Amino acid sequence: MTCLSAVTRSMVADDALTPEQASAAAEHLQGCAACSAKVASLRAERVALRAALETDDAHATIPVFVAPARSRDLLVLTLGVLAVAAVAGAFWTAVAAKIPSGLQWLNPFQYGELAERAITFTAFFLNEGITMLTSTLNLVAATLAIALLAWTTLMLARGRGSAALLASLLVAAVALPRPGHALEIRRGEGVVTVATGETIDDTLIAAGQTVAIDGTVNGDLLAFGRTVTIRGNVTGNVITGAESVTIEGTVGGDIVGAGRGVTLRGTHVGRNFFGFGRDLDIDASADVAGNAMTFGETARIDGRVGIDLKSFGANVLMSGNVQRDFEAYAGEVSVLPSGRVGRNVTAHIDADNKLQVAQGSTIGGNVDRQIVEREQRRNRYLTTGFYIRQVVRLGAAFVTGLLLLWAFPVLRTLSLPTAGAALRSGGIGLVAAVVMPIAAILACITIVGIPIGVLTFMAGAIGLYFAKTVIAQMIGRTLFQSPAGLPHYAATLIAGLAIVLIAINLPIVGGIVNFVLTVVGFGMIVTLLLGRFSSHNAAA
Amino acid sequence: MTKEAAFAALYATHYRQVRALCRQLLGTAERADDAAQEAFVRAYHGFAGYDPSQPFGPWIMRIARNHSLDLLRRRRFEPATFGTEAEEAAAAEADDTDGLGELLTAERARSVQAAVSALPERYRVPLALAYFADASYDEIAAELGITRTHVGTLLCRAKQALRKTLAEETAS
Repeated sequence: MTCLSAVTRSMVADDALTPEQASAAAEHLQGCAACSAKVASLRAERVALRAALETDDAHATIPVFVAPARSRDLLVLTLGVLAVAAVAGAFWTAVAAKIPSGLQWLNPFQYGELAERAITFTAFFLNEGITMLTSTLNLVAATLAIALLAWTTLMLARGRGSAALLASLLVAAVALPRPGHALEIRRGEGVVTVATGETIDDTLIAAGQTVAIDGTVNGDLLAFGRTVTIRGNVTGNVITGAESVTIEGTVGGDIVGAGRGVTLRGTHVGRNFFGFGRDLDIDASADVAGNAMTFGETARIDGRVGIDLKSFGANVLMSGNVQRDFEAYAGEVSVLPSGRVGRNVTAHIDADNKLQVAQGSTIGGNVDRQIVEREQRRNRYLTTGFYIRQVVRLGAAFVTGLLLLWAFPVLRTLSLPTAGAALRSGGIGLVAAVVMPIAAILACITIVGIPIGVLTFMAGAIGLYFAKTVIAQMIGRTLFQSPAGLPHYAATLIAGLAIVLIAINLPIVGGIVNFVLTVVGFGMIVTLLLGRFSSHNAAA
Repeated sequence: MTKEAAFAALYATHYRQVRALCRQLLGTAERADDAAQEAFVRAYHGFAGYDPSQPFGPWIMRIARNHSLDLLRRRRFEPATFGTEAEEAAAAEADDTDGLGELLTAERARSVQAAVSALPERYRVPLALAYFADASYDEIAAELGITRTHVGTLLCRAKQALRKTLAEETAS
């Protein structure tokens, strides 16, 4: 006689066999004490298991039930959001009015332009900037590795001394990218100098109230202070940040300079120049062998640029000699009589007359005036292109939105249950949208902070891009809400996106709707992240 | 009594049971909290169509169960999740533990619930459906897209795994 299998015994105990199977099993059980005992034990287990699973935790707290929004709440929400939007809109308009038009791309709500700048940057780096980028990244990587060394040492020092020493040496060996290229650090409260005739065969980090480099640095130079003046020679790259930066010597590699004023005077730059500041000046005697990029309110380029010149700012004055292309994104661009451009001049400006090309200047190629989009919007609803663009935009938002919701399922179910939650999200979103770019720029002031700054900026831009996707998904869910359940999130997303796209393209109010939806959606994402972060910390 | 007050009373009465079902189906407290809230939000929306002469408990439990299974499906939960019937059956026969019977005392309820939550999804979901949501083998088979005997095999394996965990706990 073959005994019942474990599965069959379990199914007997659950009364789950078919009538035929059940009678066959019953017949066996009558004659088999072993199987009968096992089945009896399984039946008792089943009863006990059910009881155990149904036992309440009487002490567990019951969270407050948040009723979904009602039409009255929706009205309060709408009025509240409009009020916040009006205040926020007025605030932002006032802020935006103070920003020179050439720097409007910094405005986080100008996506189109922001995206355009990002694409231009990428294209530029791909075409021309790879060497510069690589060397800068090398430097950043070395700095990060040094920071890692310090951190590792600190961590291990708390534990075993000898292990700390060993690990530090190991990390130090890995951290320094070029053998024989050590690191020298000079810092002080007052003046930090490398005197004329002095030679440093290391990477030099110099920091002080005034930094003056008159000697030679055979390596990279990182200089920070209130005033930085470089009259000597640097064979590697120069990364410098100061209120006033003046470079008069020779630099073999790239220069990345940030300050209220950055001036190249009589300088020979072996590779590229990147200048960030209010006033940027490439003097007539300066010579940049590679590309030059300036980001500042006023840029004055009188010297020679070996490849391309790109300028972002309110006023760009060009009277130098650019071997290839000159491109400006600015309020006003002037090519003065002595200006020479080997190939094309492209200006991204508000109006035709914002680019002045003086008589006597020499342009090898074409002069192209790219009038920025906001000046062309007047009759956009009458053009077919507008509708094609919207369809493309909807498609793109749908695809990226699907990816987002697929990758982060938690975003599929975000909701704003009350008017208060929406107002809070709007407030958080507004603060985050204003603070993140500023924080990113501040982070970039230190070398170690550059990756953090770039990441912050990118995270902010990505968050803003996806803000409306989150809102669209929420609207879609509300549309399809029913006790029977929701359709696939793709359906709710596309429905929500279509509504959002129509809403943000409405005449007159479209802009403010766009603003409100972006701010509220961004706030929801930030709130979610902050919630996760704090619960993670609490759990830790 | 207003709709809100009536619903709030039902919520207070049934929340723990709904949350426990979500916990057993979804495995983690965080997911269970979200799912339980969502189940009640859905019930709230459909409350106008709810017949008060029918018990609220089974209705809300059905909503919670459907929602939790939806969530599991969205996380790529598919028939393959449940392994092959033959492999599970072979494993079931290789294990000769007896039912725990009376050993599962009320005092051990917490341990049992924790052990269920820690079970792999392929055992936890059928177990929760069968012994907590009172679903029949046929219902479970239809929900999970597997055969009836496969359900029996998984339940047998689930209980074996549970016995092992509880026995180890007792030993330690």
